[in-house]
Amino acid sequence: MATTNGAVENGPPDKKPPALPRPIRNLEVKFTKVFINNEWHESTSGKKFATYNPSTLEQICEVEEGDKPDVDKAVEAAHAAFQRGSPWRRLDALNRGRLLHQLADLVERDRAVLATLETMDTGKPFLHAFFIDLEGCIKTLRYFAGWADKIQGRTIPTDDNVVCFTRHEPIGVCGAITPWNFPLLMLVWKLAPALCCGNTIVVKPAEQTPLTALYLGSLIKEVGFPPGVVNIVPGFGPTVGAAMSSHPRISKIAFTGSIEVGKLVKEAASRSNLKRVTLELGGKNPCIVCADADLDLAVECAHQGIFFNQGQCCTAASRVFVEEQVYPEFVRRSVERARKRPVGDPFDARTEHGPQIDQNQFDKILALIESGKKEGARLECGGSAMEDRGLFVKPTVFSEVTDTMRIAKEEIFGPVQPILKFKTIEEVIRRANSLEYGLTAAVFTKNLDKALKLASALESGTVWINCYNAIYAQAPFGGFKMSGNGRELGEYALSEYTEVKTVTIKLDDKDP
Amino acid sequence: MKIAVIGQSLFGQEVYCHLRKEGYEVVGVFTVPDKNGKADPLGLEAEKDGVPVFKFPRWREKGQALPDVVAKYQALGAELNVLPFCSQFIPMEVRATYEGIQKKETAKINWEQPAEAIHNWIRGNDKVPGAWTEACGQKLTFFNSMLNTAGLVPEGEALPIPGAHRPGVVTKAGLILFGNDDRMLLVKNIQLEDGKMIPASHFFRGEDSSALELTEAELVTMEAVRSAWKRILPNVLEVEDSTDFFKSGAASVDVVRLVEEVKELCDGVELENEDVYMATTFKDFIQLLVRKLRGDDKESECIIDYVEMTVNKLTLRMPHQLFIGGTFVDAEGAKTYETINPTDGSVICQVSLAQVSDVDKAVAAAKDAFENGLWGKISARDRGRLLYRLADLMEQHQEELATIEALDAGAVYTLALKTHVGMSIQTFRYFAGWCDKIQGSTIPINQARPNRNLTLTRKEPIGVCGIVIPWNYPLMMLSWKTAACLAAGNTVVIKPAQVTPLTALKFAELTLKAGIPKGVINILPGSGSLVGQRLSDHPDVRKIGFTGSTEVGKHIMKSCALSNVKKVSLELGGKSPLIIFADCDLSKAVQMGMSSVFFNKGENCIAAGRLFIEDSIHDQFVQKVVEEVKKMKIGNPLDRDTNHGPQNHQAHLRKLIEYCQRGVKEGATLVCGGNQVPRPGFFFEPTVFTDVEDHMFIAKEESFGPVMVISRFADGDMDTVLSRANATEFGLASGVFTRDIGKALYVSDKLEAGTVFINTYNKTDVAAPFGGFKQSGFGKDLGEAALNEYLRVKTVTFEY
Repeated sequence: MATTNGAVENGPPDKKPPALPRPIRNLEVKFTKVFINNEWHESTSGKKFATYNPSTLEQICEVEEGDKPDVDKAVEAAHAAFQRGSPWRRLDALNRGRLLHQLADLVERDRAVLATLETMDTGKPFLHAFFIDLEGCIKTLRYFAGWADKIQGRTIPTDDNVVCFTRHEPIGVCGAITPWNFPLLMLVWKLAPALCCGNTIVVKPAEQTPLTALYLGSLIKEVGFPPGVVNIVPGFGPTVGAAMSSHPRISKIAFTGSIEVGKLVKEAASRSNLKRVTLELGGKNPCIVCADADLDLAVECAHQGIFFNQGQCCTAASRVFVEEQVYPEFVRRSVERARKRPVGDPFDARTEHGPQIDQNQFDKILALIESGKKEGARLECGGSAMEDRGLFVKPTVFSEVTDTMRIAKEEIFGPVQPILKFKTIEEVIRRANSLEYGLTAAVFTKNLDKALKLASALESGTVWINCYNAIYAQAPFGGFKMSGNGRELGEYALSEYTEVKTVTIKLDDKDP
Repeated sequence: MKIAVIGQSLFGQEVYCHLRKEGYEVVGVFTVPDKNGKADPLGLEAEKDGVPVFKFPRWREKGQALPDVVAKYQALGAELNVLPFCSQFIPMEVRATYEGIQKKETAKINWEQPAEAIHNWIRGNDKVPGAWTEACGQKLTFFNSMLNTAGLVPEGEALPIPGAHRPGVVTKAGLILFGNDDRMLLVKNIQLEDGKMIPASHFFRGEDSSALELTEAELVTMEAVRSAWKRILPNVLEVEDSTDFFKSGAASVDVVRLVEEVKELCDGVELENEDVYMATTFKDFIQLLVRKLRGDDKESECIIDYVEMTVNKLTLRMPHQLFIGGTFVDAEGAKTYETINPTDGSVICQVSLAQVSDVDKAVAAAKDAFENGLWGKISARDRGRLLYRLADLMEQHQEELATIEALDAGAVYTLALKTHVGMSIQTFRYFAGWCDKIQGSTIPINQARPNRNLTLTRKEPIGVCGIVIPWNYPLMMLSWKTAACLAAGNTVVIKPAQVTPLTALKFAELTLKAGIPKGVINILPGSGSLVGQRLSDHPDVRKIGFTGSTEVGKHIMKSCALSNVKKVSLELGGKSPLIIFADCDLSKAVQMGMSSVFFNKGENCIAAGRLFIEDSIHDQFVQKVVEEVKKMKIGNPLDRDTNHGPQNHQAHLRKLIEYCQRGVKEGATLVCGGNQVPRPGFFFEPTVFTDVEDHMFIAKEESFGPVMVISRFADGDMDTVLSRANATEFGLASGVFTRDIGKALYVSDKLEAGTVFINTYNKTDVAAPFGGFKQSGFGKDLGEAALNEYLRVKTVTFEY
């Protein structure tokens, strides 16, 4: 492997751009079992389930299917690892950070393997997996690694002769239930802050995409996290997910997924032990294009905003509001761009667009496309599955969409771009805010006043101005309204994984 | 020697045995009564030897010694008492009368020796029999002597002592005595001939300060208050005169309860939490309460010599002396100077001119208030309440303050009301809220295995701070610094600008009314070369906050370094660029451009010192500005329709005239103004220069007056105009007008200035930090950031 250290001795570095990373062909899947106490277990029931490549519809392998008894075992391990005096609890904060840094090193080492696994399991383009998902994982791990020894409480002046300070302590056993659209990234968003704060964790990856999570288990072990700190139980929502949400010894649960399941998680959490809950749920995110915007930029961002990851993003730009003066031009260029989107084999470096995740999603998307046609939206392009292949849906653009249509109200989670028209800023603010979702919003304008006004008026956890999907490990992410509770990433995430303890020490009033 | 042992425990037993072994005669042992049928080891041991053992539960009741106990003791004829682990209160009557060590008549002080020898003599005779001298016609006995008098200033009333090298001085800290080497010692307590022991600092208080004789009715009240104390302090068996409220375990909630109970008891007497902190023992509390009830607690109210004046339909009452330790006093040698009204050049009044010795007094007062005063004892929340109250009082006096500002600084009254005074009030309110939110951190550190560690940081006040402020916004600059300084818990000595002292002195009066403890705030009108210099040099001042010129700032920083490495923050000059792009809202740019220069007569440290106008709108901009300038009403600042008042003082006006002459000489185009207004007072015309090139004096130097300096830049040439804007050693503020979000953000990123205004100017706010880059200084005023300028961080690390 080339190192940068030799650059000086070997003359100026090669001017050629580095070769594109290559997927690992014929990758053998090594880790398919339940991961508890740094060991691999068969499921208690002996059951297994298959995971498929959505691009070819072929089975990749079978994975041990966890259930409640496996969750109990995992929680027991996590609980034991969290006990006072355990190796994990005795570890200095600095060294906790080092372990996370080392984990990032191993993820970086095995980046191509993980990206290949992710592409096999999700159907997303390999280069996206490599450059976006894995990049995000590594940066997030390193970011929180740096926080570990900076989780500070406060010393507080009070009215009486006391010393009063707070300690920010880990909560205990945390649960993480993660989705299939960014399987490893969404897991790392939860795992990194949880471990950085000193918690232990039980993870349920989505049943469609368990492979990268299990591979990460092997890296956890290799790095040398004490046994029980991280436990991974593959399985289904109604069994593993439900057992975790209602488990009396899990003190905190983080979920990314649909609003419907989010409600179940929160309900189970309150019925069981009032565990702390963070939810990152769906969105129907407005993308507002003002007439004064740089139209090329707006078209490209809106296009990537909706079609990235086959439309399977909670941040998808699924309501594009365009000011009427530029509406026809915007639609024309958007259609042109959608038609050019390269659809195909996710392992092909030219591919931008792969298959949907499974038949359910595929059917749901096509049904919504049909509703759009029926309710009077104008289908500009796409509008159907690719004739020759299983789960591929053509990039689809609808114009003349109105607020009452289903495609303007419901989360599609597919490659469907509904374009709406607006006249005034006040009107678009009202319409953008009219739904119960509030995850992200985007604004395209060159005007300073409009940008700042919209940034403050839009009811969403994130507002992007002249950009899209600009997500950074340092900046908090989460929803307003029914798009979720709590925040992931950034310093804010730490407060989701710590309890605050107030310590008050009375001083002797008598003279010393 | 005959010894009585009074005490208990195994330790008491050990001492007893040791004394016997050394051959002393123990004539009696006093110890505690048996507990649960178990006798104390000391008593047991003595009984074995047949020594008389007494087990009295107490020696006195209600402050009176119990006669039978005293009789038992006296019958033993002890010459010395030994008290190992004695937990009982032993009254004065129980005093061994061993006279072999020192006899009173031999303990007279010989004044013909150095301070150290006198100190040793007093110390050697401490307790019994006490070193004494003849003075004031009686025999005074001195106790509790200290040789370490560092930081003490012998300021106070002289106590003539026959035979002494110099008279003693009664100060707040105690009685200062001098040896024949002229060195000092300090005596804390004096016993009068009648046997009464008083704090030396109270020697001259005389009858006035002695305890009030209570009437029948007041005695009833006292007993009612006593039972209130008993209810609040359940752990105290008996509330005696000496019972201390806090040492008996009271917390702040108990203070509130006591205040409320007493208010109810005494029909709503005006009592506040601070009163309890001031009089913590029962006796002191009763004395304070009775004084309040009799209505003669006003003795402390300061008598202020006001200059009175009827102006602006108001009667102004202006203090004009130095404010030190909570009183208005003359400067040393009664030195004064005239403060001038710039509107007509008339003398407003004589103001005391502080001297170096006055600075030392003020610093000593601030030091004492910081170290020993109430200020350091009250909670952070109560500190905040005092600052809120001060803000309320400033609001009540806002018209008076604004009028004084108009008289003394030539500030336009309406502007003074909103800005000079209005923002001052807001500043105190803002920082009042910070007081109890000044938090440190708890920090995870690597553990020292097998032990563990805990690290805390505490943010503490620094101590005595010096604040030196300018004449352009006299009250507001004072407030910006003082509010943060006080919120952090420091005490302060303030030097207002010599030409504008009056609002600061009015402010001083309001701090008294607000109940801010004496000595916390001290204000010294005077010159920079004397007062400012002494503050910067003073070894007891730990921080200087300065706003003024870069030249003086450098000098202060040097003095701070050389004296005692004081912490320092400097808010200095500016030559702030304002860049106006062609794509801006032009009418707004003209309006804001006008105020960026002409606001407060240009006497504004963030004033736009240079305007860069994009070529394509340059001529239009200049034309509109000239139209607006013509509309400006120049006049008496107290007139409500005036928007341009006189410059602050005459020297400043002269500098402005020269500044403009130099601009013309170097080839800039004088579009309008440039001259003194032909009327009395120090008025200067609003002035506009165009075609100003980068090399010219007026392009580089601050005018601090109503002079607009306009240069043009080529259309679209953003990077060149940025490099021209940044080509200055100043970096206080800057501004940009554009509608383009990209341009606005790019320019704000590249401008090297502590503040960037976008599509506005002069929009400062109490919550937003303010301060310069480069030679415009360092350290912030306002906002949370300002607190850090007046705090020091202490790291506390535990191992457990």
